[in-house]
Amino acid sequence: MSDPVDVLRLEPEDLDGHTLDELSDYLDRGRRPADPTIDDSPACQIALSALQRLRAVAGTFLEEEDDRSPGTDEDWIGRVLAVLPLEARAGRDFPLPVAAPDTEASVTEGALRGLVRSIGDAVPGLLVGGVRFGDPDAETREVDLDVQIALRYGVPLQEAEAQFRTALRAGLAPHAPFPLGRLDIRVVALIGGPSRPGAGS
Amino acid sequence: MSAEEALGKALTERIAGAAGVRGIFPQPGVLATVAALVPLPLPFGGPSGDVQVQRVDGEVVVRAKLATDLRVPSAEVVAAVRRAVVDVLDGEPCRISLQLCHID
Repeated sequence: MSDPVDVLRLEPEDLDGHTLDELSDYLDRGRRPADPTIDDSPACQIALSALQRLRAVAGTFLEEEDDRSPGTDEDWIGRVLAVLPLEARAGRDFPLPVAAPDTEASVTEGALRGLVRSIGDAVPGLLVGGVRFGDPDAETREVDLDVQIALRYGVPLQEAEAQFRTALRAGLAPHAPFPLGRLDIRVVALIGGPSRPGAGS
Repeated sequence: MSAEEALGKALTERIAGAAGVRGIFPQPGVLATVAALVPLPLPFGGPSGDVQVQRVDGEVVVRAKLATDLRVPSAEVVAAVRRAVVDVLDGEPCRISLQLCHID
């Protein structure tokens, strides 16, 4: 099987000098001994969260796939993940409205991307890849959002998409300092496939 | 510990304990700061960071990069942190700058 870490496209400059391999090893070690250069990096924390969810989801998929088709080719995970970019860099700052004149606050684009990924990965059968926020509309302040997902074979597309869309609008609202405009959800990959004839039960 | 270091430590501890705050990231490169490093027991393992404190033109300038809890609206986190800072400074003029870097 391809290691998911091998195919997630992240460069060391995105991760404050670390590689995804290093973060994966760090997770394997239970984050011990503590490495401040990882623990203190927002980008690394975002990537670690995504990596952790990815492992959980991939593990579940693999177990179920193996139940249906023992010995099945597991490289599909690598193929799916190859088209799911994971971005961890901070990106833009979106100012948060604050009534007190002595206080200014913002939320980073990276934090919002991570939130979108977290919301989507909680939808059964769905895995979030690329997340792209557009520029705020000059009049409405609305920001469009484009999300790439992989969907597990057999999961009803409309149902999963509707569940994700609802969760996304509800989950982003308390944190995004802008109204969400157009929301595009694009399926870029299918995970798994039908059982092979004669294989499994 | 100097008075400024004590102030930085007090601010860091109070901000770390504000509703919805899960951690504080360090801010390398900020000029003339008093950094107070406070280890934070966080469910996801990191970060233990610091709040940057400066005195500029009679104001205390407080900067923090935060990891926050997705269950708490960001505006509420900001308000809670501001209340914590104002409380610690006890009426001293201040400017607060917060960046939410990780919501989980």
